[in-house]
Amino acid sequence: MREPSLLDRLVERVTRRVAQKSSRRGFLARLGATVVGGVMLPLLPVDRSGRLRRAHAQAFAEQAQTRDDTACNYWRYCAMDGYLCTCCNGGVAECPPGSEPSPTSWVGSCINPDDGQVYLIAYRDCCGKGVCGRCPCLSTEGEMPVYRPQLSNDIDWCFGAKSMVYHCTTAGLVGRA
Amino acid sequence: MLEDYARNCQGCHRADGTGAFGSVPRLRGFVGLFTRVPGGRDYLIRVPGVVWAMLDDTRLTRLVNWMLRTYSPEELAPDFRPYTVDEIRRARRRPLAGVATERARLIAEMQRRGLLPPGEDGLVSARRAP
Repeated sequence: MREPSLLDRLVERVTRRVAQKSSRRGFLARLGATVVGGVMLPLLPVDRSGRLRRAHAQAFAEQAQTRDDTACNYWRYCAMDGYLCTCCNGGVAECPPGSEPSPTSWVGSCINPDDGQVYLIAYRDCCGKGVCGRCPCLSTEGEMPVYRPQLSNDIDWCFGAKSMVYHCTTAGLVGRA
Repeated sequence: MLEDYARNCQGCHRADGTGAFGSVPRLRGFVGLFTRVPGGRDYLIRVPGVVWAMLDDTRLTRLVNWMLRTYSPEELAPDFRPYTVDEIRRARRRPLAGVATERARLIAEMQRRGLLPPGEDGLVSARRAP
Protein backbone atom coordinates (compact mmCIF):
# COMPACT_ATOMS: atom_id res chain seq x y z
CA MET A 1 0.00 0.00 0.00
CA ARG A 2 1.21 3.42 -0.88
CA GLU A 3 2.36 5.74 1.90
CA PRO A 4 -0.40 8.41 2.51
CA SER A 5 0.51 11.78 1.12
CA LEU A 6 1.32 14.73 3.32
CA LEU A 7 -2.04 16.26 2.55
CA ASP A 8 -3.86 13.04 3.46
CA ARG A 9 -2.04 12.80 6.77
CA LEU A 10 -2.69 16.43 7.58
CA VAL A 11 -6.39 16.17 6.83
CA GLU A 12 -6.68 12.94 8.82
CA ARG A 13 -4.97 14.48 11.84
CA VAL A 14 -7.15 17.57 11.81
CA THR A 15 -10.31 15.54 11.30
CA ARG A 16 -9.51 13.19 14.17
CA ARG A 17 -8.70 16.08 16.47
CA VAL A 18 -11.96 17.81 15.63
CA ALA A 19 -13.89 14.58 16.11
CA GLN A 20 -12.29 13.96 19.51
CA LYS A 21 -12.58 17.47 20.87
CA SER A 22 -15.94 18.65 19.64
CA SER A 23 -19.47 17.39 19.77
CA ARG A 24 -21.91 17.62 16.90
CA ARG A 25 -24.41 19.27 19.21
CA GLY A 26 -21.87 21.91 20.16
CA PHE A 27 -21.26 22.60 16.52
CA LEU A 28 -24.98 22.78 15.79
CA ALA A 29 -25.48 25.12 18.71
CA ARG A 30 -22.76 27.45 17.49
CA LEU A 31 -24.03 27.29 13.94
CA GLY A 32 -27.55 28.00 15.17
CA ALA A 33 -26.35 30.94 17.23
CA THR A 34 -24.54 32.34 14.22
CA VAL A 35 -27.51 31.95 11.90
CA VAL A 36 -30.11 33.26 14.34
CA GLY A 37 -27.76 35.96 15.61
CA GLY A 38 -27.18 37.10 12.06
CA VAL A 39 -30.90 37.36 11.51
CA MET A 40 -31.64 39.01 14.86
CA LEU A 41 -28.80 41.52 14.80
CA PRO A 42 -30.64 43.97 12.54
CA LEU A 43 -33.59 43.84 14.95
CA LEU A 44 -31.57 45.09 17.90
CA PRO A 45 -32.65 48.53 19.06
CA VAL A 46 -30.72 50.82 16.72
CA ASP A 47 -33.60 53.09 15.77
CA ARG A 48 -34.67 51.30 12.66
CA SER A 49 -38.30 52.05 13.42
CA GLY A 50 -38.21 55.32 11.55
CA ARG A 51 -36.83 53.70 8.45
CA LEU A 52 -39.19 50.74 8.68
CA ARG A 53 -42.17 52.99 9.14
CA ARG A 54 -41.08 55.03 6.17
CA ALA A 55 -40.74 51.85 4.10
CA HIS A 56 -44.28 50.73 4.95
CA ALA A 57 -45.73 54.15 4.30
CA GLN A 58 -43.93 54.06 0.97
CA ALA A 59 -45.64 50.79 0.05
CA PHE A 60 -49.07 52.32 0.64
CA ALA A 61 -48.12 55.53 -1.16
CA GLU A 62 -47.07 53.62 -4.25
CA GLN A 63 -50.63 52.53 -4.92
CA ALA A 64 -52.29 55.61 -3.41
CA GLN A 65 -54.02 58.45 -5.26
CA THR A 66 -54.94 62.03 -4.36
CA ARG A 67 -58.21 62.59 -6.24
CA ASP A 68 -60.91 60.25 -4.91
CA ASP A 69 -61.39 60.55 -1.14
CA THR A 70 -64.15 57.93 -1.19
CA ALA A 71 -61.70 55.16 -2.09
CA CYS A 72 -59.62 53.23 0.43
CA ASN A 73 -56.40 54.02 -1.42
CA TYR A 74 -56.83 57.78 -1.01
CA TRP A 75 -53.42 58.87 0.29
CA ARG A 76 -54.62 60.07 3.71
CA TYR A 77 -56.15 56.69 4.52
CA CYS A 78 -52.84 54.83 4.99
CA ALA A 79 -53.86 54.00 8.58
CA MET A 80 -57.65 54.14 8.22
CA ASP A 81 -59.67 51.48 10.01
CA GLY A 82 -63.39 52.07 9.72
CA TYR A 83 -66.08 53.57 7.49
CA LEU A 84 -65.12 56.59 5.40
CA CYS A 85 -67.11 59.67 6.41
CA THR A 86 -66.82 60.81 2.78
CA CYS A 87 -69.21 57.96 1.93
CA CYS A 88 -71.58 58.86 4.78
CA ASN A 89 -72.54 62.46 3.86
CA GLY A 90 -69.48 63.86 5.60
CA GLY A 91 -66.12 65.10 4.41
CA VAL A 92 -62.55 63.90 4.63
CA ALA A 93 -62.25 66.03 7.78
CA GLU A 94 -65.95 66.75 8.54
CA CYS A 95 -68.42 64.65 10.42
CA PRO A 96 -71.77 63.91 8.77
CA PRO A 97 -74.79 65.85 10.09
CA GLY A 98 -76.14 64.28 13.26
CA SER A 99 -72.78 62.97 14.43
CA GLU A 100 -70.14 64.78 16.47
CA PRO A 101 -66.36 64.67 16.12
CA SER A 102 -64.60 62.96 19.00
CA PRO A 103 -62.27 65.35 20.80
CA THR A 104 -59.60 62.63 20.72
CA SER A 105 -57.93 61.12 17.70
CA TRP A 106 -54.91 59.04 16.93
CA VAL A 107 -52.15 60.55 14.90
CA GLY A 108 -50.39 58.67 12.14
CA SER A 109 -48.40 59.72 9.11
CA CYS A 110 -48.89 59.16 5.39
CA ILE A 111 -46.90 60.06 2.29
CA ASN A 112 -48.59 62.24 -0.31
CA PRO A 113 -47.62 60.62 -3.62
CA ASP A 114 -47.89 63.98 -5.44
CA ASP A 115 -45.02 65.63 -3.56
CA GLY A 116 -43.46 62.64 -1.78
CA GLN A 117 -43.70 64.43 1.60
CA VAL A 118 -44.78 62.85 4.89
CA TYR A 119 -47.82 64.42 6.54
CA LEU A 120 -49.31 63.87 9.99
CA ILE A 121 -52.90 62.70 9.82
CA ALA A 122 -55.41 62.76 12.68
CA TYR A 123 -57.88 59.86 12.48
CA ARG A 124 -60.91 61.17 14.25
CA ASP A 125 -64.10 59.20 14.75
CA CYS A 126 -67.53 60.74 14.35
CA CYS A 127 -69.75 59.63 17.19
CA GLY A 128 -73.30 59.69 18.48
CA LYS A 129 -75.06 58.19 15.47
CA GLY A 130 -75.55 54.56 14.44
CA VAL A 131 -72.76 52.94 12.46
CA CYS A 132 -72.63 54.15 8.84
CA GLY A 133 -71.48 50.90 7.25
CA ARG A 134 -70.43 52.32 3.86
CA CYS A 135 -66.88 52.20 2.42
CA PRO A 136 -65.17 50.05 5.03
CA CYS A 137 -61.38 50.43 4.80
CA LEU A 138 -58.64 48.67 6.69
CA SER A 139 -55.13 50.02 6.38
CA THR A 140 -52.45 49.38 8.95
CA GLU A 141 -49.63 51.88 8.43
CA GLY A 142 -48.02 52.54 11.82
CA GLU A 143 -50.77 50.70 13.62
CA MET A 144 -50.08 49.12 17.00
CA PRO A 145 -52.04 46.40 18.87
CA VAL A 146 -54.86 47.49 21.18
CA TYR A 147 -52.63 47.25 24.24
CA ARG A 148 -50.92 50.35 22.81
CA PRO A 149 -54.26 52.09 22.36
CA GLN A 150 -52.89 55.52 21.51
CA LEU A 151 -51.65 54.05 18.21
CA SER A 152 -54.34 51.48 17.62
CA ASN A 153 -57.08 52.02 15.08
CA ASP A 154 -59.08 48.94 16.08
CA ILE A 155 -60.74 50.62 19.00
CA ASP A 156 -63.61 53.06 19.24
CA TRP A 157 -62.01 56.51 19.36
CA CYS A 158 -65.03 58.32 20.80
CA PHE A 159 -63.30 59.07 24.14
CA GLY A 160 -64.50 62.40 25.43
CA ALA A 161 -67.47 62.60 23.05
CA LYS A 162 -71.01 62.74 24.42
CA SER A 163 -71.71 59.29 23.05
CA MET A 164 -69.44 56.30 22.46
CA VAL A 165 -71.56 55.16 19.48
CA TYR A 166 -69.30 55.01 16.40
CA HIS A 167 -70.50 56.32 13.04
CA CYS A 168 -67.50 56.82 10.69
CA THR A 169 -63.89 58.04 10.61
CA THR A 170 -62.33 61.21 9.21
CA ALA A 171 -58.69 61.83 8.27
CA GLY A 172 -57.78 65.44 9.02
CA LEU A 173 -54.47 66.96 8.05
CA VAL A 174 -52.36 67.96 11.05
CA GLY A 175 -49.35 69.24 9.12
CA ARG A 176 -46.06 68.31 7.50
CA ALA A 177 -44.01 65.79 9.46
CA MET B 1 -40.21 69.10 19.23
CA LEU B 2 -43.74 69.86 18.23
CA GLU B 3 -43.71 66.85 15.96
CA ASP B 4 -42.88 64.55 18.86
CA TYR B 5 -45.85 66.06 20.70
CA ALA B 6 -48.07 65.74 17.63
CA ARG B 7 -47.18 62.10 17.08
CA ASN B 8 -47.23 60.93 20.66
CA CYS B 9 -49.49 63.15 22.73
CA GLN B 10 -51.78 65.51 20.88
CA GLY B 11 -54.23 62.90 19.60
CA CYS B 12 -55.61 62.74 23.15
CA HIS B 13 -54.27 65.81 24.97
CA ARG B 14 -55.04 67.92 21.87
CA ALA B 15 -52.89 70.50 20.12
CA ASP B 16 -53.88 73.21 22.60
CA GLY B 17 -53.44 70.92 25.62
CA THR B 18 -57.10 71.05 26.67
CA GLY B 19 -57.62 67.26 26.83
CA ALA B 20 -60.99 65.54 26.59
CA PHE B 21 -63.70 65.84 29.20
CA GLY B 22 -63.76 62.92 31.61
CA SER B 23 -61.18 60.84 29.70
CA VAL B 24 -57.99 62.79 29.09
CA PRO B 25 -56.71 65.35 31.60
CA ARG B 26 -55.91 68.80 30.33
CA LEU B 27 -52.29 69.92 30.35
CA ARG B 28 -52.93 73.62 29.87
CA GLY B 29 -52.91 75.56 33.10
CA PHE B 30 -52.85 72.36 35.10
CA VAL B 31 -50.09 69.79 34.61
CA GLY B 32 -47.41 71.93 36.30
CA LEU B 33 -49.26 71.66 39.63
CA PHE B 34 -47.88 68.16 40.01
CA THR B 35 -44.43 69.65 40.59
CA ARG B 36 -45.77 71.44 43.68
CA VAL B 37 -46.83 68.42 45.73
CA PRO B 38 -44.61 65.70 47.22
CA GLY B 39 -44.41 62.72 44.86
CA GLY B 40 -45.83 64.70 41.95
CA ARG B 41 -42.54 65.17 40.13
CA ASP B 42 -42.01 61.43 40.21
CA TYR B 43 -45.61 60.68 39.24
CA LEU B 44 -45.52 62.79 36.08
CA ILE B 45 -42.77 60.75 34.46
CA ARG B 46 -44.09 57.35 35.56
CA VAL B 47 -47.53 57.54 33.95
CA PRO B 48 -48.12 55.16 31.02
CA GLY B 49 -48.10 57.86 28.33
CA VAL B 50 -44.58 58.90 29.33
CA VAL B 51 -43.10 55.54 30.32
CA TRP B 52 -44.22 53.76 27.15
CA ALA B 53 -43.80 56.56 24.65
CA MET B 54 -42.03 55.38 21.51
CA LEU B 55 -39.22 57.89 21.95
CA ASP B 56 -35.71 57.46 23.27
CA ASP B 57 -34.85 58.87 26.71
CA THR B 58 -33.24 62.03 25.37
CA ARG B 59 -36.12 63.05 23.12
CA LEU B 60 -38.66 62.09 25.77
CA THR B 61 -36.88 64.25 28.36
CA ARG B 62 -36.94 67.22 26.00
CA LEU B 63 -40.60 66.62 25.22
CA VAL B 64 -41.69 66.41 28.88
CA ASN B 65 -39.81 69.61 29.76
CA TRP B 66 -41.18 71.35 26.67
CA MET B 67 -44.71 70.27 27.54
CA LEU B 68 -44.49 71.66 31.08
CA ARG B 69 -43.00 74.97 29.93
CA THR B 70 -45.42 75.33 27.03
CA TYR B 71 -48.72 74.36 28.63
CA SER B 72 -48.30 75.11 32.29
CA PRO B 73 -45.47 77.56 33.05
CA GLU B 74 -47.52 79.46 35.68
CA GLU B 75 -48.27 76.38 37.77
CA LEU B 76 -44.69 75.05 37.95
CA ALA B 77 -43.06 75.04 41.37
CA PRO B 78 -40.85 78.14 41.75
CA ASP B 79 -37.82 75.92 42.30
CA PHE B 80 -38.69 73.52 39.46
CA ARG B 81 -35.63 72.09 37.75
CA PRO B 82 -36.09 70.51 34.31
CA TYR B 83 -36.09 66.71 34.25
CA THR B 84 -32.75 65.14 33.40
CA VAL B 85 -32.29 62.31 30.91
CA ASP B 86 -31.06 60.11 33.72
CA GLU B 87 -34.18 60.78 35.78
CA ILE B 88 -36.41 59.84 32.83
CA ARG B 89 -34.38 56.71 32.12
CA ARG B 90 -34.76 55.50 35.70
CA ALA B 91 -38.46 56.37 35.84
CA ARG B 92 -39.17 54.32 32.72
CA ARG B 93 -37.93 51.23 34.56
CA ARG B 94 -40.53 51.82 37.28
CA PRO B 95 -43.93 52.30 35.61
CA LEU B 96 -46.69 53.23 38.07
CA ALA B 97 -48.84 50.25 38.90
CA GLY B 98 -51.74 52.20 40.40
CA VAL B 99 -51.98 55.37 38.32
CA ALA B 100 -55.56 56.24 39.30
CA THR B 101 -54.91 55.75 43.02
CA GLU B 102 -51.74 57.80 43.03
CA ARG B 103 -53.39 60.50 40.93
CA ALA B 104 -56.32 60.76 43.33
CA ARG B 105 -53.91 61.12 46.24
CA LEU B 106 -51.98 63.93 44.53
CA ILE B 107 -55.15 65.74 43.44
CA ALA B 108 -56.47 65.61 47.01
CA GLU B 109 -53.18 67.05 48.22
CA MET B 110 -53.40 69.89 45.67
CA GLN B 111 -56.91 70.66 46.88
CA ARG B 112 -55.84 70.52 50.51
CA ARG B 113 -53.12 73.07 49.77
CA GLY B 114 -55.55 75.32 47.95
CA LEU B 115 -53.83 74.85 44.59
CA LEU B 116 -57.01 73.41 43.08
CA PRO B 117 -60.64 74.18 43.92
CA PRO B 118 -62.65 71.28 45.39
CA GLY B 119 -64.10 69.05 42.70
CA GLU B 120 -61.55 70.14 40.09
CA ASP B 121 -59.19 67.38 38.93
CA GLY B 122 -58.09 68.37 35.42
CA LEU B 123 -60.62 65.95 33.92
CA VAL B 124 -63.90 67.71 34.70
CA SER B 125 -62.39 70.91 33.35
CA ALA B 126 -61.02 69.29 30.18
CA ARG B 127 -62.52 70.19 26.82
CA ARG B 128 -66.11 69.10 26.36
CA ALA B 129 -67.34 67.89 22.99
CA PRO B 130 -68.71 70.81 20.98
